[in-house]
Amino acid sequence: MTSQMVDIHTPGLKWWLTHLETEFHSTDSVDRYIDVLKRRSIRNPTPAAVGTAQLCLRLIGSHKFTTIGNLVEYVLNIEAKLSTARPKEMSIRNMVRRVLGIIREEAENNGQLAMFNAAMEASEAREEAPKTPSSASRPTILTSHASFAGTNQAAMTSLFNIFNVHSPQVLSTATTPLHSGVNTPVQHLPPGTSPHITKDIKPAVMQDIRELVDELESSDSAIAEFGPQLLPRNEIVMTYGLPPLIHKLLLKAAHKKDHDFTVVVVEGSPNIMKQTHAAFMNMGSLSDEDEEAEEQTAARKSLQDRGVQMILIPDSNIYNFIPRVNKVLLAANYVLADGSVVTTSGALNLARAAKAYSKPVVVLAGSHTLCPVTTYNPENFVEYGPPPTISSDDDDLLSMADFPNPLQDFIKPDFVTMFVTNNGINPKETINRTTLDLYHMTEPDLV
Amino acid sequence: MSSKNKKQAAASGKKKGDEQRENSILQAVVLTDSYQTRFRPLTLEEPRCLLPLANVPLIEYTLEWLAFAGVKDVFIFASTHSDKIEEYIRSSKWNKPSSPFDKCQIVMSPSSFSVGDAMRELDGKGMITTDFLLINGDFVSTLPLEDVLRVHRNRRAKDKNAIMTMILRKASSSYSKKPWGERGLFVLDESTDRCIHYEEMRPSKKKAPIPVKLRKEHPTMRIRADLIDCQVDICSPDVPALFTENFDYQHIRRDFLHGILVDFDLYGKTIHTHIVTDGYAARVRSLQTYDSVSKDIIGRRTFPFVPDSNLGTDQNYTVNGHNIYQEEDVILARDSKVGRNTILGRGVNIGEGSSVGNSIIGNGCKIGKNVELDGAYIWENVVIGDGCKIQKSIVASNSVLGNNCLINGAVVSYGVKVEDGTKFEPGQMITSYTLKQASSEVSVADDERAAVPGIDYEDSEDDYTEDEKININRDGLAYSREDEEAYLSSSSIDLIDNLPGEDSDSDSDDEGHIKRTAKTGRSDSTTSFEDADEAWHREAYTSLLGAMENDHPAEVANLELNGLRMTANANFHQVRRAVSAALVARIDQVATKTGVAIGKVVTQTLERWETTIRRCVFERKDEVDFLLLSQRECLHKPAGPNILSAMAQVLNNTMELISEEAINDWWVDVRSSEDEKMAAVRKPTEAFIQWLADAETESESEGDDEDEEEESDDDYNAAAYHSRFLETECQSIGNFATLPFRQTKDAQLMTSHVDPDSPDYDILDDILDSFRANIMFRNFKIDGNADCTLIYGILWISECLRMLQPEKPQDPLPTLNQALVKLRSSAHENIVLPGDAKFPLNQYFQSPGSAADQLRTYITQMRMELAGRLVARLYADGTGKPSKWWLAFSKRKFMSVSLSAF
Repeated sequence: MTSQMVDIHTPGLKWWLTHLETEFHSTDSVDRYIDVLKRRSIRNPTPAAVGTAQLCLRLIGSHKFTTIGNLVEYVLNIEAKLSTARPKEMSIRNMVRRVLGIIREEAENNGQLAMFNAAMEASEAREEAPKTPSSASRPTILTSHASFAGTNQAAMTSLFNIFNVHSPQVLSTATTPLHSGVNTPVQHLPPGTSPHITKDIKPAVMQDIRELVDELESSDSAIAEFGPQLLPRNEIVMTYGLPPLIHKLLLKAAHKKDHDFTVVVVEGSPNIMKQTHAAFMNMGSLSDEDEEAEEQTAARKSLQDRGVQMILIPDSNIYNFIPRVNKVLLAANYVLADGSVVTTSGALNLARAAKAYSKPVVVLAGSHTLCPVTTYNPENFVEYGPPPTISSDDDDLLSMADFPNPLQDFIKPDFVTMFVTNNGINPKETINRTTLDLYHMTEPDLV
Repeated sequence: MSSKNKKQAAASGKKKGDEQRENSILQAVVLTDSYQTRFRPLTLEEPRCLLPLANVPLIEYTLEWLAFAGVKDVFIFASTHSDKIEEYIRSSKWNKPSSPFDKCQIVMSPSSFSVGDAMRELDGKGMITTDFLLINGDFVSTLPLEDVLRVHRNRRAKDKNAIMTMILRKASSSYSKKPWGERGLFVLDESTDRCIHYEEMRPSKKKAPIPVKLRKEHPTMRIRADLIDCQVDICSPDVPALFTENFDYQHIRRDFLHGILVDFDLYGKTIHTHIVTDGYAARVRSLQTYDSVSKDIIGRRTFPFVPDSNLGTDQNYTVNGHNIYQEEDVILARDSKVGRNTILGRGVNIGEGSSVGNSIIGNGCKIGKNVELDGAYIWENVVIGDGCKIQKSIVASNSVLGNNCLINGAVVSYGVKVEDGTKFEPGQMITSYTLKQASSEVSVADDERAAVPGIDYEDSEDDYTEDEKININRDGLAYSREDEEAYLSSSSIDLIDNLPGEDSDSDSDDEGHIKRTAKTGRSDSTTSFEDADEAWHREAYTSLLGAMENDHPAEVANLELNGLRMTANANFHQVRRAVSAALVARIDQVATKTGVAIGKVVTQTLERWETTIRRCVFERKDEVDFLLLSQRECLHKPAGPNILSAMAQVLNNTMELISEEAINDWWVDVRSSEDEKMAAVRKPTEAFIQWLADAETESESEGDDEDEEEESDDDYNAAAYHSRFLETECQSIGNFATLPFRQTKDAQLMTSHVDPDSPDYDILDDILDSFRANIMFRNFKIDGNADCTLIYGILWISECLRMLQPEKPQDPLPTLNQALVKLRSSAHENIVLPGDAKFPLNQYFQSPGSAADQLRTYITQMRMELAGRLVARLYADGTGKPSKWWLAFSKRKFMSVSLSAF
């Protein structure tokens, strides 16, 4: 009988990691990953970041390259491929950019920065050549960022072309972070001039990527470490839903003896209702799609048991409670360079209330969610999900109505007070610097 | 290829490493063919699963969902247009090394005419050994499978007779008001989720009988009509096997589910349901569902399977507010308006002053100035002239519409060219299919695939009922089809095929290019190109069918037919053709409309029109001709094979219109199996032919009760066969005739049949010959002592067959020697004698009394000998496997009893 038993595993991050371990193939795996991303089998910033970092690790490990130019071109290629899969899931792109940053760092350590920059430029030039041959000397990296939002590329390119015409020199020093200060005489160095040196940096790059993965995996708990600091005794905080990140932080804070505080949890319909209720009743898992976490969940002592007072309110009730609250906690999906926050839809409402009553809004964000981009068009970051089921007796009315269901809210920097990342607490004003340093850039991309 | 191998090697490595994964991954069988004709005329040219839904072929949604759910092995079953499906899949991303499927296999089965045929083929090829998922190639869904499968698996572990889990979705409250063609009524036992009864409901059928005995067995049951049935089933390998066993099952719900549930006592299999409330699931089975699913995709109900996920290759949609999806390179004139819920494909060009809303426009379409599109589905590369208005219509690829056309609720098929200022009424369907076929022969020089003028596509049988018409109106969508399955008969295909080429000189007429072929087919136009015979056939066919539909007296119809024959000087072959076509069409029509078993419909119809048949069938070769013609007519019916089989039986047996010799002649006639299709159509009749051969000689009509007929699924209208040895004088013990029989040695096992007339023919040959004819019966009238011997023999054979059936479906069938050993050894065991308490038929048999030992010896020898001869027959084909045509009877119980059960 057992031989007849069939099984099925919905693909997810776990499936993807097993796939990388057992069936990795340098080109097929990339295509598969793109498919999986498009199908939303892997979604949410953290799983997407982990999946991408692991993929990069394998790809670079298996890729045989002779020069830095080779490697950079290869990574840029991956970036271009992956970022079109899900432009709105920016952690995918962030990870590839971090890898690029790692390569740059290692190149610098080995005194090959010039080669790195040359490679960046060369690939830029190649990319641009068919479109605008005149702008070959244009600042690098920018165009590859331009496809961040996929379709806005055309608009961006033209914008920079305008600048280019007027003052190419000024711009090239100001906007090319990756060869900052280096006036490269080897700009058009053909790849392959010094073929053997680069072999040295591969192990170092791999090691750095591994460290990046470790950082990713410990990111949540590193943020949770700030819990006691953020929540002094008798504090009353309000959270929008109870996402794993906040839940962890609260648990950590409550861990301390005699550390009692009150949490007001806002439930929002339709997207986070179930998750919030589960977490509230201490049944939710603390990390995205981790099956083993269920056991931990069962063993975990709930917030209530640890002496925290928990209040669950509907989002219509925010304004009644906000005057009594000391602080608002939000978990970010993404943080843009200017301090804008992309987060669960409905949170904007809470942020507005907090602003109206001058309550501080603290945003929790792992470093992989910091994006070196700014935007004029918040719509670019909002994805629309399936509409909730509306039942009505009036079919004609239903057929006339649209039911948009945005999955994210875009919160402008004015509503945010400070950010807590795994690297420390940042006031809003410094997040720009922190983000750009992370990617070795001097200026964010415009999306 | 090498990467694939590597992958598999790696996969096997993984299996070793990970012990938990010893279970095999669920396989999926995708049926690309719906075996329906609701999308005609579109499906004349393209298979249904490749029709674009939101600019993506339908099957993509199904396969994406399978990948989403984690399915690894996919079998794609293709019958009509199988070449196109194969070509598509081969060049798609599913066939590349990066495909999420380890195996994506296309199973070509051009001879399948129903789900039943497909399942039988599946069983025949033995490709499925584990539980599998059965879905259709037009299924759009986001259901997670993991939980469903877990429940199914747990249930299977406890009870291996739980052979199927149907996944049903609870409908929203407005569901009951929506128009519908057919819906399932499920009676469920809530405590176990078991489905205990199923009825298919149609608008014309408002009552469903629910057997009383269910009420006794299930104290609580729930009758639900609010379940959307997308025909997604997790099936065990027993399911295809049961289809093979019941070769008349066509439809998975109407026949299979209903049959298995009704015959629960016989099969002992249970079918369960899993009702889901989350997620999206729908099938595109009609033009109306095409419309509603398209709207759901635009409304993002199918998230993540929405256009801007860009799942297809080379797709680059973006979405902005109000659900306007846009591909690259769209050109919109400055004052054109694009309203909400619209998809614009790559390179769409919309002219000045045009407005588009609630529409889907495919790649490369050119829309002129001042065009209004609302609820329009425009496929690829369509050119729409200035000032057109299109509402709630489908315009298929490569069509060209002239200026100022008005199209409302119509379907314009592939490559139709429409003149300026044409107006299409709701429900019109325009195709250029026939003309393309014709012109390809005539004008090869015309290289560019110019759009050809279309002709109206009209069915000869507009037989949808009044309710359905109401539905159509209520839906607001003007498509006139939520029709019955297979409403279209072969004759209308003929009609299409034979439509005359269009006169090119009728241009003066505005409607010149769109000529309606009247329903009566009495097209007095353009007979010049038309074959006179064809015209006559059509005329006769239509008039006859009309008479049948309106229930005219047979005499009147005969007179009319005769008149027609005289005027056109038609020969009787043509008359027979018309009669057979009309009869088959009528039977199909009635059967699909009322849902009555085909056997019954055939009997009724044929008896009603007996005189008509008699007037054109005179001698044996006419009879053969009539059968051939009927077979050809059945070719295009989904239920054709069954109709044919039933017709052959009724004509021969009940009505004695056609002699057995004629049937045999027909069967051996090369024309009746000249190609695959013809062979497929007559396949179900094979059982009848076999039966005829088995029961060749004398037979007295005796058993005539309806019960038998109902029970035996196949509407055999015949009586049980008695022993030929009733007259032979012999010794008897009790009333058990101890007739002499030959004893064979092993070496003689393979001896061929003994002729019934030869003196060597003995009681055991008699038993074996009449076994398959008798096994179906539940009642048997004992006419003499030899009959008792016969009964015992039949019971023993069915016992043997049961023993030969492997316990688990995936086990191999026994080889000749294994079978012999097994049967011979059990021949000595557990011998029950008449008169024993255990013997099932003591009411018919007398106790042997003091001669019990003598009887025991006789019976033992008889069992031994019978087992030997049975094995010889089973393995006569030399394949090393027992004949399917025998094993199929292993579950039948003669007279409802068996030897072993007692």
